[in-house]
Amino acid sequence: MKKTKSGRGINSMPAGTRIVTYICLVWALVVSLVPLGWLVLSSLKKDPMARPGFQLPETICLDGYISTFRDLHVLRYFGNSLFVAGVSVMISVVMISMSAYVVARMEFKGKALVNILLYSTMFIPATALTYPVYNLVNRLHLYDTRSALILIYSCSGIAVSFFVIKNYYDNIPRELEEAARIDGCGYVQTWVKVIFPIARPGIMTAAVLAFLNNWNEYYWASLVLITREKLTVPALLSTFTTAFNTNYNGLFSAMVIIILPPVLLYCIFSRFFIEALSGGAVKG
Amino acid sequence: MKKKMVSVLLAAAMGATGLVGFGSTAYAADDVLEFYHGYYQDESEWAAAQVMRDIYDGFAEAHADGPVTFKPIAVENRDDIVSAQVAGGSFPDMVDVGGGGVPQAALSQDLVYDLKPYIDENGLQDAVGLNYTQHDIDGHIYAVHDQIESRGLWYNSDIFEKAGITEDAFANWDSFAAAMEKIRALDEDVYGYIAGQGSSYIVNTVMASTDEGKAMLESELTEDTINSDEFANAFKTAAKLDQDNGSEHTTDDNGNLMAEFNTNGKAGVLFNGVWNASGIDASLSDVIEPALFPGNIAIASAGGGLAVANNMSEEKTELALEFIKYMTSEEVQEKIFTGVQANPCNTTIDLNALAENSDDAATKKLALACSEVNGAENVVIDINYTWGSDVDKAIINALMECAVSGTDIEARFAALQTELIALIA
Amino acid sequence: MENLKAVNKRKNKLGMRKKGFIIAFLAPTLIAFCVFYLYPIITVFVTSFCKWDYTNITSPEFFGWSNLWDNYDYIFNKYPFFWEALRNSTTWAILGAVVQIPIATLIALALSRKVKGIKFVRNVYIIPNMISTAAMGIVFLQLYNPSYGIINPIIRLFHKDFTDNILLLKGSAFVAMTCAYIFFTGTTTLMILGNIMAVPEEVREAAMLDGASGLKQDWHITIPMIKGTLKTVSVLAATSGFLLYNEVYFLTKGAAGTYSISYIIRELAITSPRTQFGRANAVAMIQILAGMVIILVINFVYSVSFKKEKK
Repeated sequence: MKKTKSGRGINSMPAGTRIVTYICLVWALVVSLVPLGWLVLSSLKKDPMARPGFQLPETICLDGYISTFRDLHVLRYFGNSLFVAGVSVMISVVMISMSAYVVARMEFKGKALVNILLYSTMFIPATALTYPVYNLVNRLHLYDTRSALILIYSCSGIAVSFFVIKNYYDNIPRELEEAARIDGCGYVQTWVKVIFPIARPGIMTAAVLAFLNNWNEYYWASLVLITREKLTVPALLSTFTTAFNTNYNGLFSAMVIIILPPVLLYCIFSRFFIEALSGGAVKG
Repeated sequence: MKKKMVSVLLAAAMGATGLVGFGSTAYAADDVLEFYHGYYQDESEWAAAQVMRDIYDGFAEAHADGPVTFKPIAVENRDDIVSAQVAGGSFPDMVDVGGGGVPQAALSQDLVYDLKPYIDENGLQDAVGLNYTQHDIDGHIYAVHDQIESRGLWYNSDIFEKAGITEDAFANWDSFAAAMEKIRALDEDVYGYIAGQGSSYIVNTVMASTDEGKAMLESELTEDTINSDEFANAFKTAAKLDQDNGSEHTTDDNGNLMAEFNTNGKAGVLFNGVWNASGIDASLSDVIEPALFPGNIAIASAGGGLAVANNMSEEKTELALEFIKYMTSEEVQEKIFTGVQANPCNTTIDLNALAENSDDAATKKLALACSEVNGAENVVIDINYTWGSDVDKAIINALMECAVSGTDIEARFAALQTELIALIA
Repeated sequence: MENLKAVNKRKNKLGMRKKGFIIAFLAPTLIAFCVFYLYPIITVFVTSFCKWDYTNITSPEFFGWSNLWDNYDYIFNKYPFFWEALRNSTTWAILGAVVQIPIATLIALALSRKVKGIKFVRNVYIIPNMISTAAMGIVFLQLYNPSYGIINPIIRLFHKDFTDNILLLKGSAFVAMTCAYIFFTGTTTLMILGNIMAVPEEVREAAMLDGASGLKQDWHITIPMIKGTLKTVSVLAATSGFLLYNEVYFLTKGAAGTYSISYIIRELAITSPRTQFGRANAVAMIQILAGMVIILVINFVYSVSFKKEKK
C-alpha cells in the first residue's frame, strides 16, 4: 500500500523532475499571487495611485470595504447572483450531461451535425445574439425578471460544458455500462445509477467553469435586469465609476469582495471533486 | 419513427425561434410612462446622481394623480438597451440618451417624436438653449439635453506660476506649446497636460480657429475634409504637442488619469468639461482655474438628451412633453447648476448670481467656468457628435500612437487618412 | 423460425427504446440551441450578404447575386483594421494552444504530485480565473500605467531613460496585452489535473516497474492517456484567444496595432454611429469559419502526433 502512495510522491522522483516541479509550483504561486496581492494591497490604500505598486499603505484604509458593505447592499447582490448562477448551472449541467452522454456513446444519424452546431455556438458574437434574445425575453414577458437571466445563462455557454463533459464520458470504460445492462438496467437507469455518479467529477468541473462565467457575467445582466434590487454582483463595480472620476479604492475593494464567495465555494468543493478524481473511480 | 420525432422536435424549436425573431417588443402599460436614465450611482459615490433622481421623483410626485404615472428607471447601459430596442423596431417611452445621441437607426425608422412644434408653441426656445440650434435636423428636434456639455481647459495656476507662465499662454497653440515646454523644464515631478482622449479637443479647436475648418466641423465628415489642409494642420499640431508631452501621460480615457490633475496636482493642464469643478480636491481648489482653449474657443455640445417615443397614447405624450418643460424650467435648471454641478441649457439663468448666493467653492468655480464658456468668442461643437464616435476614436488612437517618442507623425497621419476614408465609406 | 422472429422483435423493440432515449436526452440541449443560437446563426449568415445599416435596420436588403460579396469586399479591401485584427486574433489563438497548454500541463503535473502545501497552491492558482476578464483588464491597466504602474520601473532598470507608455508602443502593446491573460491558466490546469488524477494507479505502477518515473513517466504514460482532455482544452484555449475582447477594450481600445476580430465586430455593429450590422456580420461569418478551422487544425495535429506516439 505504501508503494502505491508514493506513486506521485515527490521524493521518489528523479532530481530533474523535482526541480521542474518546484519551478512550476513557484511560478504558479507568483503568477496568481502577484495580481491578487496587488489588488488586495491597493484596496487598502486610500489613494492607490499616490502610493503605487507594492508599497505598503501609509494607513490601512477600509473605506472601500465599509462603503461597499454599508451603502451598497452587498448581500442582496450576492443572493441574486448565487440564485441566478446556481439555478442556471444546475439546469445547463443536467441538460448537457444528458446530451453529451448520447453523443459520446451512441451512434445516430446527424451526430456530426450536432457536434458542428455546438462548436459553432462558441464563435457567434454577442452583438448578433443581442437583439433576438432580447426580443425573446420580451415576448415571454420575462423582461426585468431573474428568470430571464436564468434562461439566458442556461442556454449560453453550452458548448464549453458539452465538450468538457463529453470528454470525461469518453474516458469511462464501456464495460461498466455493459455490466449494468446485463444486470437489467434500461438506458435511463444505466445513466442515472452508473454513469452519472462516475462522471460526477467531470460534471463538477464543468459546473465550476459555468458558475464562474455566470458569476462574472455583466452584459446580459445589465441588459435584461433594470430594477436595482435584482441586479447581480458585477453591477457593484460600475457604481464606482462616475462621470468625472474613478474611485479606485472602492473599485478594488469591491473586486476583492466579489471574488470571495466563489473562492470560498471552490475551497469547500475542490476537496470533494479533486479527491474524488484521485480516488480512481474510473478504473477499468 | 426517429425521423418523425426529430422533425417534430425541429419544428417545435423552429417555432420557438420564430417567436424570437419576429414581431415587436412588449411595451409598458398604457398608463405608465417609463423613463430610462443613467444616474444609477449611489449617493455616497456620486451625489449628483441622487440630485438628478430627486428631480425626477419630484415630477413623478407632482403627477401622481394624473391619468398616466411617471416612472423613472435608472439603468446602467441605456445605450445597449436603446440599441437593442431600436434594432427590434421600437423605442423606450422616454430616455435620456447618452453620448452617442439619438441613434440614426431610430430616426430613419421614424421612432422618435419631433419636439420642435411643442418648443415653438410654448416659447421654450430660451429654455432649451443650445438644443434649439444644435439639435435641429432639417427642421426637427429629437432630443433636448437639460445640461450642456461645455468644455474648456483647467489649469493649475501654482504650476504655471512656478514655471513663469503668464496668462498669454492661452493666446494660441504656439504659446500653449511654449508654456508646456516651460513646465517640463521645471525640476519637479510635474508634466504638461493629460493627453489622449483630451487631445481630440486640440484637433477640434485648431480646426475651429478658421472659418473653413469650422464649417467642416459642423457638417458630416467628407473625403474633402479628410484631405484638407485644415485637418492636416489640426492633427499635426495635436500630435506634435502630444509627442513632446510624452506617452506616459496619455490615456484613452480621461478618467484613468484625472486624479493626477485634480487630486495630486502633477499635471499643468486638463482638457475637460465645466463639470470637473466638482471633482477638484479641496487641497487644490485655490490653484485650479478654468480657461478657454487657446484662441478664445470653447466646445459646447447639446450631446444626447431627453428623447420621446413616437406613436404613444395622447396622454403619455402629453406627460412626456410636460416633463421636458419641467426639466428646462428655471427651478430645475438652477438645481442642475447648484446640485448636479453642470452647465444648464436654459440661457435665462443668471449663473453668477446663483454662485454668489452659494458658499460652495465648487459652485463658484463652476460658475466661473460656465461664464467663460458661455462668453467665448468662438463656440464650436464636439466632433464626436458630427463626425461620429468611430471617427473620433480613430483620431484619438492615432494621436496616442504619435505620443510615443520618435513616431513619424507624417506617416501616421497618412495612415489615419486612409482609415477615415474607409470608415465613412 | 419462431425464435428468429422473436429475436428480431426484441431487437426492434430495443432499437425503438434506444431511439427514444437518444431523442429524449438530446432534446433539451437541441431546444436550447435552437431558441438561443439557431436564429442568430441564420441571421449572421444571410445578412452578411445584405445591405443592413442604420438606414434599413428592420429590413435588411439583399445585395443581389451580382453584388453578393459587397460586404466582404469592404471588409477585405477597404476596412482598415480587418487584416490587423485577423492577424492578432490568429496569433492569440496559436499562443493559446502552444503556450497556454504546455504551461497548464506542466503546472497540472506539478500539482498532481504529493508535495507539502500542494492543496494551497492548487486553490490559489485558480483565483485569478475567478476575477472577470473585465476586472482583470482594469487591474492590468493600473499595473501597466507608466506613471504609477509596476512595469515601467522594471524596464528602467535596463533602459534608464525609458519613459514611454508600453501600451502605446507597437509591438510591446501586443506583448503587454498577451501577458495580461496568457499566464492565468487556472481553469485549464484544473481540467487537465482532473484527468491526470483519473489515470489508474495500476498503469503508473506498471510504468514504475519499467523504470520510468517522474517526467519521463508522464511523457510516455500520462500524456497519451489524457490526450482527449488536452485536445479539448487546446480547443478552448485557442478559442478564447481568438475571441479576446475585454483585454483590448480596457487596455488599448485597438491603439498601437492591437485590434481583435471580436473588437472590430462590436466596433462596426455598436460603436459606429452608422450601425453597420451587415458588415459586422460578414466579419462574424469569418469568425465562425476561423473557429471551425481552429478546431479542425487542432484535431488534425492531435491525431497525427498521437499516431506517431503509438508507433
